[in-house]
Amino acid sequence: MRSPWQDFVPAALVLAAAACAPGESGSTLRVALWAGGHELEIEREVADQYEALHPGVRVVLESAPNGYEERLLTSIAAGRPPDVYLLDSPDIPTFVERGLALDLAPYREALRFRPDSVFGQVADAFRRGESMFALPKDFTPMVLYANRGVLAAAGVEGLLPVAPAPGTAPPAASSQAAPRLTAAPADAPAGWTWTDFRRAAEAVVADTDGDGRTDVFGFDFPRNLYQWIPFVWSAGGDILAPVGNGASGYLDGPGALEAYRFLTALAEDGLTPGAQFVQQGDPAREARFASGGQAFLLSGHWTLPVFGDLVEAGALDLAIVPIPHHPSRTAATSVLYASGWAVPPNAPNLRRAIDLAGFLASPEAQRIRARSGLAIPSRMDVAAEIAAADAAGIEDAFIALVEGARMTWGARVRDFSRIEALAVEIMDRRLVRGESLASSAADVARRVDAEFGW
Amino acid sequence: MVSGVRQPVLDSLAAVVLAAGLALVLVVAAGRVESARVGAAESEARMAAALWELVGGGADAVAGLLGERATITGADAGGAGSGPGAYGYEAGALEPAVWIAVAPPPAGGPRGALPVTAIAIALAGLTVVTGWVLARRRGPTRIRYPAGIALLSGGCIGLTAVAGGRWAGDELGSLSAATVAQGARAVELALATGADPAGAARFAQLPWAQDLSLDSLTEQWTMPAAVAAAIADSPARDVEGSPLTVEADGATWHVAGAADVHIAFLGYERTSSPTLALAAAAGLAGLLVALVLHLGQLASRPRALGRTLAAWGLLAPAAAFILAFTLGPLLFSLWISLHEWRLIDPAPLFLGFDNYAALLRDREWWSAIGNTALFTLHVPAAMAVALALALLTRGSRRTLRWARLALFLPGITSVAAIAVVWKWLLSDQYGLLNRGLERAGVGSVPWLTSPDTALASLMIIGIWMVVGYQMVVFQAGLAAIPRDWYDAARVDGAGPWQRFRHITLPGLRHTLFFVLVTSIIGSFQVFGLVYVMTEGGPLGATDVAVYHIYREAWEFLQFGNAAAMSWLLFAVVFAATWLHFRFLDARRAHG
Repeated sequence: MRSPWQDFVPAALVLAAAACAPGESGSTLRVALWAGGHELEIEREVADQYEALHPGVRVVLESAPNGYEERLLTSIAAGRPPDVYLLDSPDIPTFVERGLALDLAPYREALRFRPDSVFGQVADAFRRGESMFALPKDFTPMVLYANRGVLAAAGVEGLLPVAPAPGTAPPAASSQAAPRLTAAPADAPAGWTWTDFRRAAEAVVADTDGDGRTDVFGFDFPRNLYQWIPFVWSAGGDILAPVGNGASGYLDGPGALEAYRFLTALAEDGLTPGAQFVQQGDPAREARFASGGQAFLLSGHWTLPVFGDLVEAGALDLAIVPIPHHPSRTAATSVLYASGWAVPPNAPNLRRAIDLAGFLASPEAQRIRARSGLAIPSRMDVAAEIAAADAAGIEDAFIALVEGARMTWGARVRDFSRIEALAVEIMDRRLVRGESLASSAADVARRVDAEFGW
Repeated sequence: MVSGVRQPVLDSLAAVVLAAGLALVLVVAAGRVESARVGAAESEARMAAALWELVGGGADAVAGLLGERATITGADAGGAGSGPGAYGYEAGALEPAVWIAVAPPPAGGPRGALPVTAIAIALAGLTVVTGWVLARRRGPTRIRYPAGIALLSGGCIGLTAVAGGRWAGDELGSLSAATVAQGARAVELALATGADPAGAARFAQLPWAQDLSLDSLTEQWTMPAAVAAAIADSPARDVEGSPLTVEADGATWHVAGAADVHIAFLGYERTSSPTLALAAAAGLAGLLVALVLHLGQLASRPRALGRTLAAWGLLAPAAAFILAFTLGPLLFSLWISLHEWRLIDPAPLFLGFDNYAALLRDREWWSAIGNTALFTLHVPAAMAVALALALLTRGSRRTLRWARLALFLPGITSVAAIAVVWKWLLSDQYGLLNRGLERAGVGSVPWLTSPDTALASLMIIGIWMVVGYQMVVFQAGLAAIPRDWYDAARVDGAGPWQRFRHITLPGLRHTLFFVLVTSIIGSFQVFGLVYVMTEGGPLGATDVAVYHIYREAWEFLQFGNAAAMSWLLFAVVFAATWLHFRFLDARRAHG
């Protein structure tokens, strides 16, 4: 009879052999990032360039377009961090305060990195005093995309702070017109106010097929904090105290309340489709905008490539304009989101990791990456090169919006996601339950203060 | 082979296993201290490299900081580069000019270089156990033998672990104080080379704050705000050269001052705390001793001993798998639930039962539990529909087979895909369902955008998803009911309802119970639908327990809270299941 040991011992040997299999070699550098699709192909191209410059070094891109933060945190907690990782602006305080990002300032010379070569707000986001905890990759301000065809059909294209286009036609007839991608000129005069925006949004609302339902909207409701905070700033308000240690008096302050009222009124008056109470927002917004069902779309630079093909095909007449400002003020303040290359202090190949981070943030890498069109290069010289090659002036328009824009609060306040999660309640409670904005804002501000011990 | 094992051999083995277990406990305690010493050396090497790199302090600065513990090799030091070595650090921007190798700080905290007390306890316990074993070999002992050995071994292991833990704590504390003092020294050396205080503070490679910014918390710091505030409040902060510790974020921080700069260090006694590892080592040692004692009981029956050993050998891979991937994580989550931990914190902060106490007052959590309980109400509705469908689609006709297949498909389709499709179907603006209702003159319904309807919408989808599976289980149950019973009932004049009431339902009792319990457990774990369709909204109306736990852990990084919630949810589900069993038992008892 066959003994049980005769089965057990070989199996145990196989398992032991598997456990002793060789690991990765020391010349492999792991980079954590969230790129996907074409963007990942471009990052691979950048990595290939680095490999060509450093024979024997292999760069592995560990990309997680979804669940990036979970994956990164888990790898760090498990003691196996990547050599280089992409640090998103809202994660900066968490990573810096816990010592998870190496101070790269001592290596500036060696990496030929000059902070003054980078847009000021972007560099500041990753700095604490003289220390620099990531090398800026790229960034974007939030802007308004305007469907000029829709606005022209309603006769309100003139309200836009861009030059009127000859031969403007609604989307249905736009195939005969030259495809256009226009933007507010960098030196556009101030005066694009909430009043203008609302007038334009109101004018386009229409039931085109006569079925009693609105088919063309002015805007879609900006439910999330990252979308509506420019409106608060543009009304002279803010959501936190200047040093980021208090919400009461700010999140429920007069400027913030004006912004909430303005935005909720857009929804209540039927200028937007019904609000979607989810973080990802209305999944149909971009399709609706591109197909002529919506006049304005609030987004960042990353949306530009989405519309590129439509503009090329003459199906979309697109303008990029600043976020409107409160009538009592002269200009809007947009919000910036940036990312940078960071190195964990316990990176397995620290020197090579620092070198790779430097390369990933270098002008060469940024030039390659700029082809994706997803964001503005963090280096001013590369951004200027890209803008110079853009006859439509789109890049110039984006760059012009950087001046006066502010980095997200998340780049300074730890656990900001908690504030974002609570803050969405303010306007939700108004739209869902009809509560007063002042009382819901005061309640949320109190809860933020209590939760953060402010 | 096994049948040759004799009682004295196993008795001796118990003593050997105990010795190994005690050694394991001591090694764990000493290992933590040693790893902290290595960490301290690495930290000092980084400080030295920073001095070299940033101000060109050179060998003098490194020697000033580390004395003879540092060995500098490389081109700039006039020697050949030695490449990476233990606890070393390259200096000289990216192309290393030198290699600074640092010997760990000397051992010897307040309790000396060895965990004397722990070793003494271990040796004493081992001596007693061994003496007892030897005494038994000479003849029967008076006290009950295995229980005595087990008790003594367990006590010995426990006491050794406690003493080892205390020794390790003292050693780690002294290492922490030394590390922060070295940080202050690095700052002083940098100041001596002309660096400004803010710049010099970075040479410590530790969190720092300038005195001026302690109160104002300007951006001239990397120190956590709570630590800076605690230092600002400390009366001893201005006493030159005095070691300072402050309590912040529930931990002891070692603080040192240099010029107007304060640097802080979260002590090794927290970041390398051996408590959990010691508990695990002691538990493992105790288990092994108990296993050997158990085998010793079987020594007089060689055949049983052989079978037991073979059984354990065969079970070992599966047992190891369960231990590593089920029981281990379960116990770890229990441990985490007693701590504040954000996954990337240097070390969890022990809170006791604070997380659980906070949950009892957390309205959002109980609202999520309430929503989950409400969602669970879809289970009886789904069962009723499933039973009806099971009765309607019984038979072997082709149309019935297709109908069963169609009804079963949602049960094997990805939840994410189902959720996305239903999200579009229920869209206020573009949803097919609302278009149909409008055409029918009913008007549109805010399926997912109103707190009054969102959870009900998810329940309807929940029913649609599970009804096919439940139908198949019911049909299996129906097939087990003897046909004769129905024939006899027909002969007795029973109508369809009476047959259903008196034959089908009682015959399906166990199937119904199985479906009810498993479906309720499943519904308490609902996540995918909420995650994809509503994100818990609007206004928390669909915030169910598992989604709430997910957000607490992965969005807000409160893993301690999330673990406590998981255990509370487990308690709720366990209680619900237990009540069902009790109910069934009571029904059985009353016929």
